[in-house]
Amino acid sequence: MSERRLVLDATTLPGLDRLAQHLGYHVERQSVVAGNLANLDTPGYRARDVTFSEALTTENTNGSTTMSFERATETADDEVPDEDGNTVALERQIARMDEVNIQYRAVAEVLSRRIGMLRYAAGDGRT
Amino acid sequence: MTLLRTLDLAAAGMTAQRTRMNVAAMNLANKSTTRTDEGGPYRRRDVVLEAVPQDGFAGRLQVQMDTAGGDEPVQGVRVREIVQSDEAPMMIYDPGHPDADPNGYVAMPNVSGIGEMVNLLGAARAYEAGTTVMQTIRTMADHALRIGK
Amino acid sequence: MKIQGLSDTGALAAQGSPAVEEAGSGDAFGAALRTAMDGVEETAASADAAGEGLVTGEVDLHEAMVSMEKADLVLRIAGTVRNKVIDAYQQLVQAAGG
Repeated sequence: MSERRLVLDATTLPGLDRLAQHLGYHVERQSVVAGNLANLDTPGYRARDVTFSEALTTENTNGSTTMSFERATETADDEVPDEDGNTVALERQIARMDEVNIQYRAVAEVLSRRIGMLRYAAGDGRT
Repeated sequence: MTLLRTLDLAAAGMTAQRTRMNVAAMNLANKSTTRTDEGGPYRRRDVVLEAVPQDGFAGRLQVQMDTAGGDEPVQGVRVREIVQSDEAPMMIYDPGHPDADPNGYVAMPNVSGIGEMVNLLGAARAYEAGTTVMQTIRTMADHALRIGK
Repeated sequence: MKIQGLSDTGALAAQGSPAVEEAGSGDAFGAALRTAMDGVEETAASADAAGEGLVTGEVDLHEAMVSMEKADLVLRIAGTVRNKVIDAYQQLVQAAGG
C-alpha cells in the first residue's frame, strides 16, 4: 500500500468498509433476535434469522478485488410450532444474542486495530 | 434496523408483556366476582398479541456505505386488543351464595387460577428477555463507541 | 446543539499553500496536493452527514464511528502528503540554487 495510492484513493480506505459491513450484519441480526423475543408468545409467529454470505467477486482493472455480500432475513424456526403456532425458543434466541454480541465486539476490535495501523502509516511513521 | 432503534423495539415488547401481566392480575383479582356493573359475573379478559413491523426501516440515509440496512422491516409486537371472553360462565352449585339462582347455582367468572398464572409467568419471562436484549444493545453500543480508540 | 463539522478542512489545507503557490509551474506538486485535498473534502462531508444522521437516528453508531475515523485518517494522510510535497519543492528550489 503505497502512499501515492492512498492519495488517489483517499475515500476508500482498504478493509474498513468491509469490516463495517460485517458490523452492520451483526446489528441487523441482533435486531431480528430482539423481534423474535418480543414475539415469544405471539400466536402464529415464526422465528427469523439473517443470513450473510460473502463472495470474492470481480478482479478490478487496477488489480484489487471486490467483495460482494448478501444479506437476507428468512424464517428460521427454533422448534416445532407449539399449540399457538409459535416457533420461537427462548434459550436458542438468548444464545444467539450472546453469540452475536461477541462477534460484534471481535469485529469492532479488529476494526480499531486496523485503524490504528492506518493511523501510523498515515503519519509516515511519526506519531 | 439500527442498534438504537432496536432498543425501542425491545421496550415496546416489554410494554405489551406488562399489559399481559396486568390483565392476568386483574382476572385473578376478579376470580370470584359475581356482580358487575354490566350485570352478571366478571368476564375474563384476554390479551391479543400481534407482530407488527417496527418503524426504522424506511428512509435510511446512505452514508457512503449502507451497512446496517435490512432487506425487510423487523417485526416487533403490540397488543392488538383486549377482548372480553364470550364464554359461558361456570355454574357452581352453592345455594348459600347471595347470587345463587333458584336452583342453587351461582354463575362464576370463567377464570382459571392456573391459566392466569401461566399467562402471568409467561409474560414475566418475555419481559425479562426484553431487559436482557436492552443490556446487550447497551454493551454493543459501548463497543461501537470505542472503535478507533 | 450543533455538531461541529469537519468541512472546515479547507482552512487547514490552506496552511502551507503559499509555498505551493510559489511553485509557479510546479503543476505536479499542485496537482498532488489538490487530489489529496479533494479526498479530504469528500470524506469530511461524509463524516458530517454521518454525525447528523446519528442524531436523527438514520445512521447507525458503528457507521458514524467508522466514517469519522476515515475522515481523521484522510486528514492525516493529506497532512503527510502536504509536508512531503513542500519538502520536495523546497529541496528542488535549493538544488536550483534559489
